[in-house]
Amino acid sequence: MNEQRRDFIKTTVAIAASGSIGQIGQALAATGASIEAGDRVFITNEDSNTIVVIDPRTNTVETTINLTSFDEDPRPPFRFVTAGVAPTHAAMIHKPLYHGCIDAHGAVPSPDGKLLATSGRGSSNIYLIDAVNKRVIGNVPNPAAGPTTNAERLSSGILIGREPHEPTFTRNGRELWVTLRGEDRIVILDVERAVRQMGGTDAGAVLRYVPTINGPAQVWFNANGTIAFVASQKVAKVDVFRVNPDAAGNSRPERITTLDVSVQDKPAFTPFLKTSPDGNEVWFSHKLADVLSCRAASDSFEIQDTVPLGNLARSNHVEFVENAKGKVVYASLARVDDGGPGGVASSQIAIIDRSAKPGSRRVVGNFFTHGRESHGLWTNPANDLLYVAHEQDELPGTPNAGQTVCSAFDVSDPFNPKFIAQIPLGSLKLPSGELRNKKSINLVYVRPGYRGQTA
Amino acid sequence: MKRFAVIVSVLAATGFGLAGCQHAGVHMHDGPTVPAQYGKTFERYAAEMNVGMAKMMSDMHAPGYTGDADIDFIAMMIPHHQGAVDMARLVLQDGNDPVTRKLAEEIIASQTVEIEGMTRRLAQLRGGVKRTVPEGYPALGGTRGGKGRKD
Repeated sequence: MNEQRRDFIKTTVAIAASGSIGQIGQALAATGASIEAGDRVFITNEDSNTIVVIDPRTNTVETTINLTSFDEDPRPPFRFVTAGVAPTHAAMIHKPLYHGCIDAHGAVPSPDGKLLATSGRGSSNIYLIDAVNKRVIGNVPNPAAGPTTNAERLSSGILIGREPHEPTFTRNGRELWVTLRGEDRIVILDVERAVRQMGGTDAGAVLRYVPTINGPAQVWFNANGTIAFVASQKVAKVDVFRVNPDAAGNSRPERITTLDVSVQDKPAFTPFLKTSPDGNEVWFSHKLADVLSCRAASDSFEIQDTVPLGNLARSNHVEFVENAKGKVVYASLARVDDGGPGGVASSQIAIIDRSAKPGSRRVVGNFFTHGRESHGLWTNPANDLLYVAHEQDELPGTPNAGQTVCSAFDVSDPFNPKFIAQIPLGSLKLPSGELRNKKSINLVYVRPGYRGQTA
Repeated sequence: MKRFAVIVSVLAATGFGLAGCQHAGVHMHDGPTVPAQYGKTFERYAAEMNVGMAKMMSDMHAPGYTGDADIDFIAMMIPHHQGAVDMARLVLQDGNDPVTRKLAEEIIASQTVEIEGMTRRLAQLRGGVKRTVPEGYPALGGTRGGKGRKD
């Protein structure tokens, strides 16, 4: 992107303009992190079926995108709160006439950062979100709109198959590949058709199903978009496909090989992977083996590193941060450790030095996340900020007790992250009552119009 | 009436008898006063509520502390849940609000299952099961790296 055209807003400017953000603002002002006006952090919340949108300039929740179908009708069966009673998060999706998302889980931005794809694990579908206007594509005006009802009726999304875990856009942005963890295949959707189909009319969005290893968890493409890696949570294998696009840019996947990763992943449980920005490496998070592994992203895909994370570390996502002060890969850990900040138990992020020679990479440090069961994490385009999502919300004895929290860190020195803010996610204000945002899973930092990590 | 007779005898046996009732209403130890104008039916409901709550407190304290936070939590939470289930059953018998009834049904449904789960887990913990590998399969998350809070 042309640096001259970028409307760069140093955080210090935002803080000066706001003038009343208090300690969070002071901490942010000290970072000088690179944030643009349109930058947003999106977090899927699996139990509340919501997507929280955070403005990184203030580190506060700007809005919550509603993927539930509550309050589209004034009659009690359609309400979230009925007769003063809000259902538990677990029970809410079983209310009569509920047609919203069930288990909002995966989320990933399109290469241009203007779209967000979110999977509904339980509802077996995919939703597309307009990342600029922060709204669900395909919602229609609610015929029962009124003072006590929502203005829109939620899209049904696109039904794709059982247990869709993680969606991923192809690098050219034409397709969306979604791993169907409950099956042994990947579904490929045409993005342009999917946008049209979100409104409810069949536009032929599903292009094909690609057979793959059992229990595919996530697919990620190499840097130039020619190769797709598929990890599994059921077998200790990695499927590798040549994307093989036609002249129009539509993929014609061909399997290159199926890698045996049983040495690195004895429990056969690899939920996440990501390729490095330089295109040379693919990193896998072997959650139950408590290790990361790194392979060459081309040729024979040979193993380069196996990095132990510690007993019961339970790694979730990995994220790459590279700037003037270092080159690391971070791994979010599900484990909750005692001795966190202020004596409060917290999860940690493992820091692996990627500048070390392949074969000698190891954990060189950890830092507490100020939350529990850290999951999604993502950096900003300048690689000087890191945001972390958390699954658990029990933080007894703290100011944000009972709230799901997201944490922000200054990673301008990747080896010495500085805590900026613990951000309570609050609730979605429905006409009938407040639905507490709960159980964060994926988190992405999006700059609409900028070629992001999936580009 | 048979149920009421049983309750009264339990109250007497546990020291929560009606002998101490005041003229302005029924007062039971560890339970709020029940004004006489509420009537006999409600008095019976209140008596059973108080018996249940007293039993719950007694049962929660009965195991005592063992020094093991996990075992002590479950051992005391089981009677706590049972108290909730007992109260929910009473309101199903004596209440008339359909929404409260629904809540009570859900409490019974969920907490009965949780009692069963806690009972099984308590037996395993007391038997010395390896805690980081429940059911022989590694725990996915929420595991503590340390041994608990430090003194």
